[in-house]
Amino acid sequence: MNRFVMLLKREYWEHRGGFLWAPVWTAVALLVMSLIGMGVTSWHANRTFDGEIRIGVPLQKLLSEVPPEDMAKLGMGYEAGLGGFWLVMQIVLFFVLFFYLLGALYDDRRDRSILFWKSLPVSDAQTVLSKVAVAAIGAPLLAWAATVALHLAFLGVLGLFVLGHGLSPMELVWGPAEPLALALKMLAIVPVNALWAMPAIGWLLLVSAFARSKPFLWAVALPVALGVAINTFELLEALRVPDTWYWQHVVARILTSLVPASWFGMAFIERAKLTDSNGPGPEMLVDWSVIGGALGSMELWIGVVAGVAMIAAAVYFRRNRELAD
Amino acid sequence: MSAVIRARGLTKAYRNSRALDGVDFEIEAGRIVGLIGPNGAGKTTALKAILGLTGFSGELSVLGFDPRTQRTQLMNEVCFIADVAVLPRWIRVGEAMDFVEGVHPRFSRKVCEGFLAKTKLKPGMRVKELSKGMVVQLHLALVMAIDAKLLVLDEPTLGLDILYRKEFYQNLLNEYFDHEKTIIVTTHQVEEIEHILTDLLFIKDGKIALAATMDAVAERFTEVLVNPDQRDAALALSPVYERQVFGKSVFLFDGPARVQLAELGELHKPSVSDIFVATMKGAYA
Repeated sequence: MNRFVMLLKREYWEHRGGFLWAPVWTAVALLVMSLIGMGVTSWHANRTFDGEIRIGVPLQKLLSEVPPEDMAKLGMGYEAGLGGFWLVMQIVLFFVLFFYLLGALYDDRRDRSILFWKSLPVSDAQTVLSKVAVAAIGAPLLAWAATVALHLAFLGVLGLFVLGHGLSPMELVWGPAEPLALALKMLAIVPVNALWAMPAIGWLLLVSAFARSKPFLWAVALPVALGVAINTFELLEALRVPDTWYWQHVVARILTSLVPASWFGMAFIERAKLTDSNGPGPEMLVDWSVIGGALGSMELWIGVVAGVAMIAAAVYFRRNRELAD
Repeated sequence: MSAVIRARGLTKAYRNSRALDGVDFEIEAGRIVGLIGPNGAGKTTALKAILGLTGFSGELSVLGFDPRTQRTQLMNEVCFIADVAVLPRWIRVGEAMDFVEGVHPRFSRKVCEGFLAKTKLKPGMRVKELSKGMVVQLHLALVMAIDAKLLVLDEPTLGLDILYRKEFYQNLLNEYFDHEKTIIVTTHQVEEIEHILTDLLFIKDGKIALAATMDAVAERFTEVLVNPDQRDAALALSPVYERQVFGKSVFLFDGPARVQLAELGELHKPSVSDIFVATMKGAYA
């Protein structure tokens, strides 16, 4: 166990830039941008609208009367805004993870440092599993922590801004935004993402352990070329399977299921069919029932099985592949 | 004495060639073995097989383990320095120590810090900021702090200046080696290590060309400095090698009695590199 913790630390030391500093600087950039935005709005508002500020609803109006439907709108506004921050952070995380996984079992074969790692009593399975754990849980948790810090900082600044206008930050900011509930939901999404991403984690690690050169090309060009061949020769038509099946269930899963909450895609569509409103709103993003539904889907668990098989293959290649130089 | 390494019919075939061709050898505990051969003779392949880094056919037992299937257990007892530049460039000196301490049950941090205290290395330094010589100092400090039974060194001093090379082997001999430990080393700079070796293993075209202790080699081989008028008499005793020095011939003999050779001229103890050159005749032909 101690050994495994050491392996996780090792990954963190090597990729501190991607796992820690990338989310931190993204959060800082988002915060600074929204501060500038707030500043501009405030200045603009003071000049042209004579003190009336809107966050979803006219701010001054809230002083006297707060109709419940407007309050709900405010809550949804916060959810969309904070959810937007979360989305940006997750997209950064996707790029970090994609390139981390592609290099995880390749870079040390290229610079020969694998000879150092292999001189120590660590099994190849332990090495590969430590990288799976980091990609599936470790890095997403760091990104989660950075996102929560960003949310709190943003709401804090907004609270001061509201206070500056003589309004109550408790009523207008912290109450309707529900940052704690949001943090919990984002945390609950981490393991669902991890399971959903297993085919991508498995595929990228497999290519990383297997490729003698150019892992990116292998990872992307191989499935795409296969797909083009399938489309061209209508290979699957013969089996009465539509061409799009391969793209949706193979290519998309092994390359893009690392995209955070890409499993929402399915849920969105399902839900949109049921509700005859204007389609799913941003509040869907953090709906418990959607998270639960994803866990119950067959597609997720088939992906997990495929991912585990590819991870096992990656261990095999880690054991038997020689240097990549 | 039991053998630390025992190989029987060790073979490694690549698509068009055999890097190792049915090699048999044994290495006993407490020896320092020089595995010496020209480029491409199969030295590195043999070491990789011993370390479980490559597949092979035939029998090979290292400390009683099969390197193909019991690599992880084997690595508890074996250390290796594969090359000068294999420490990851991003790691810091302190992190390297933390890591080895965390994964290796036989690593002593105190010993490692003791070795590092004698160098200019500081825990905060990154490998990529170090000179080649300092990287080797770090690697050697890490390895010497592990109480392993077998240490494998593959060209450990390649590209280092003479000061680092001398220091490397001095440390190894004075601070690390004892009769419980076994060291296998390959190098092209044979002259620098011949005084520390106890055994020689010459490898040529994937086969063992010579396997003997240094004492046996000293017994077997004699070098004679022969005047031109005696040259034919010397040739009659079938020397294994001849070279010219200042108009005289230097013959290397494998076997014949010293008394007989003494009549031909002045006797010398041949260097390992001379024996190597004689043994490897035609290796690149």
